[in-house]
Amino acid sequence: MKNSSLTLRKVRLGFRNPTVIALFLCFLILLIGNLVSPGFASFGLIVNILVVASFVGLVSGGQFLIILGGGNGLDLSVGRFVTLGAIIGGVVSQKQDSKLILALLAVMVATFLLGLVNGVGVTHFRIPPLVMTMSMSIVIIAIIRFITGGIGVPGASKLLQKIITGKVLGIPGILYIWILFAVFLHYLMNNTTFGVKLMAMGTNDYAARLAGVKVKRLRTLLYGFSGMIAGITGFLYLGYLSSVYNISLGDKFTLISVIAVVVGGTSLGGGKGTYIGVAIGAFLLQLMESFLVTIRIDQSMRQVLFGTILLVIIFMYGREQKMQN
Amino acid sequence: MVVCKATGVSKRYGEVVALDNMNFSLQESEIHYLVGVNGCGKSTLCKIIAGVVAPDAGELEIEGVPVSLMSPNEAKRRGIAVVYQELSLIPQLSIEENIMLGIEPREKSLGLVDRKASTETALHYLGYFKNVLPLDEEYVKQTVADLPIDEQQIVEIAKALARKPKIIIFDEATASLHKQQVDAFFSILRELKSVGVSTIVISHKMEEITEIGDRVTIMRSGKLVNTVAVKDVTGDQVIHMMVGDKELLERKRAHMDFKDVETVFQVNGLTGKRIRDVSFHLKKGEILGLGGLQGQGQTEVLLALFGSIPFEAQSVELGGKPVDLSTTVKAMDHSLAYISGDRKKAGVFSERPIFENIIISSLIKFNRKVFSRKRMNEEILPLLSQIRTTFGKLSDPANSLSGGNQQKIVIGRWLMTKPAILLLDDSMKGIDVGATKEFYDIMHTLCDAGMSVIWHSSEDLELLNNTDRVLVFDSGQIVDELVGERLNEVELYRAALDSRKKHIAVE
Ligand SMILES: Nc1ncnc2c1ncn2[C@@H]1O[C@H](COP(=O)(O)OP(=O)(O)OP(=O)(O)O)[C@@H](O)[C@H]1O
Ligand SMILES: [Mg+2]
Repeated sequence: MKNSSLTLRKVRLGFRNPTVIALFLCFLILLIGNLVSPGFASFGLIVNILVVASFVGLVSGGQFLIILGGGNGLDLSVGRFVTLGAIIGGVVSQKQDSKLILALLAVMVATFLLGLVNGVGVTHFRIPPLVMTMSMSIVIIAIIRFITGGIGVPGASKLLQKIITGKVLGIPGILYIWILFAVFLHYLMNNTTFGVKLMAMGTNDYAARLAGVKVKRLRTLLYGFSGMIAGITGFLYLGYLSSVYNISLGDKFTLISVIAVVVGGTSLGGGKGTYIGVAIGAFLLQLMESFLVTIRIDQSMRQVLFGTILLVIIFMYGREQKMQN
Repeated sequence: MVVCKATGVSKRYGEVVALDNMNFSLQESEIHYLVGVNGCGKSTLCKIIAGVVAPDAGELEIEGVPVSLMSPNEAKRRGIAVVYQELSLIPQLSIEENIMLGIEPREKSLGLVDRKASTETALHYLGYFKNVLPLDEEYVKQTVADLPIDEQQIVEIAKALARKPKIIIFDEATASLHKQQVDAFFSILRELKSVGVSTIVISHKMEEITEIGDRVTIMRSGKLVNTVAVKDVTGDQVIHMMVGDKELLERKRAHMDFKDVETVFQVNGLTGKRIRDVSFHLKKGEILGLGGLQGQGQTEVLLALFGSIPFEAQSVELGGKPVDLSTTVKAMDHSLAYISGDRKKAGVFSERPIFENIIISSLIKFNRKVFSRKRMNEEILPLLSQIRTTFGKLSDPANSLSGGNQQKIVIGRWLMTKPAILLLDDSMKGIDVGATKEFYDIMHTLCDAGMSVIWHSSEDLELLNNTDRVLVFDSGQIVDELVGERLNEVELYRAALDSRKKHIAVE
């Protein structure tokens, strides 16, 4: 008797946890989807959805770090960093497997440095993150135009395509990369000084400084990481698409990365959240999108529905947080 | 007449029992002290009375009427006002807006806020503190975020008074106040009593009870120990009831002579915001007090030495060598540690686990990049029990701890960095008598082993009993140095006020 009421309490507490809500919604959509259109929850389809989600999930990783770090942190340039990563990757590697490592390094250096510029703008020149990163988006477009000169970009090398889409045990390579990334971030947040400092800074900037955190430096670095993670994702995305057909290719990642972070239970105020939650958030968003496609909701209606559902979720979380306070 | 009665109240948070079949009753127009060690359930009881926490079991009666479901609004309607331990002002609003929040006077014609009446009312309720605050219309227009913590506390008190309550609860309202402010607070308590208002006062300052309390309720581990009339007990008896059989360390510092001891720290001509040409030295193993009236630059000196506010100095020398203390990390590298008593603003990471709160600074100082939680726990647990911290799990967020236990976590954080020079800034705020004595003892032991301390406290007795020498501050300057025979209250007050008298005489 006592035991059952305790489990009940645990279940109820679970439903206050955004990650659990998101996970629950995932199952709900899979269930309904499979009823409406049998096969929706099949292994193959789920894997496909996961593949698309993995790119969102990776980009959201950088966004996650920035939002955790507090100070109204936000990176609205990640989408363009994805595009830039794909384009530098294509241009440097020239479809040759031998130049792949070089291309990856070029992507990492370029996007990390540009990300740092975001960080310096935010921390040293006190430009609001929203304004700074939006401006960076415009700068990156100019850089992209300069690199491509308006001509098409070479696509992915064979090896890159194989790494991303080639299957081991029925699971494409990109998902292994995503899992490794998730494990890495989880370790980073739970077992490293970096993680402790980041969370402290996101919770209480002043107290963090007094505890020995170099707040400005750390926050600047975060923008560098976010840019670099998005750049690498773009590079990997190239392997998935095999060619860059459009220079607005990464744009959709910008907002969706923010949404995945929030839906996954990370507080926009900073200092609270887990990457597992973010990953589930990314999956949930992709799942919702596929579901709406499956039940033949057309593009414009889909966006309306998408927006509404998100608003509801965010309101729910907002209320939870207020209640906790 | 009993105005508030709680019977058999219990409350648990997961594994932690905050209240266990607690009984409490409050008489009309009495000043009722509620005491007990950190984490014994005082704040929880008050929150239940105020309707912000729902009890798991037990009954609540207000003015003889049972209340089945107390909500914050219900409590307000029944005339209950609370000054919470963790201040809850809105930092972006002005003093006036905070005090008048939700009770703004309206003008007749359009129903807009009557600014003038609002200012007047705010000033009226702050008026009790007119001797310790520069009260005028400009003052109440200041943003709360810019106020020092003692003034924020006063605003919080005025805010509660402005609600014209019949029952008012002060949860450690005097913890951040200095002597003169406490006196003003007592005059409020007396006035409330004379007009029939009942008050519950929580405090760890035992001498307050005998000075102004009518009755005192002692709690231990969520249970009632006893409720007695103040005139029937002594302070020692109260403390004994609080801590049970645990023996209390009673050790005053034998003021030592440091003449022949080496100087570890030497500061010359320190100047900065609110600091004017401060020079002093610190010997190895010495405890140096920074005294004087509140807010005379003592905190700023500590913050400057810890690299948190900019300063200029002719020289700053550690062990005879000039050092750069311009950033906090540099100060930490030289084994300085700073413990603020303002835990909410400068100490605790409230939503983060206790674990992270306590290890952060030692990780940084000892340059450890990664750690294993298990190994860390082995290091932390003995320390936490040594400083008598009660908690559920190390992974619980810091804000699940009682106020005093949160402060202990901050102290633990810095003890873990093995400091050579410890800067204390009212660090014992909110910590119960037993644990405070424990800390004094830890401090003295560490000093015997070679640590040195610079200690600022708003409690003069704390300073006088625990330091070897006190520098008296006034307007950012050192105006006197008390050693040996002169280390007593009379000398301290005289020194703190002396230079003021001279000022007045000149004017
Ligand atoms: N929200 C919460 N979640 C979990 N535990 C809590 C919560 N609030 C209080 N507790 C626990 O309940 C116990 C009683 O806490 P309470 O705040 O009432 O103590 P207190 O007597 O006011 O102590 P202090 O003198 O330190 O302020 C503590 O052990 C505390 O850790
Ligand atoms: Mg308390």
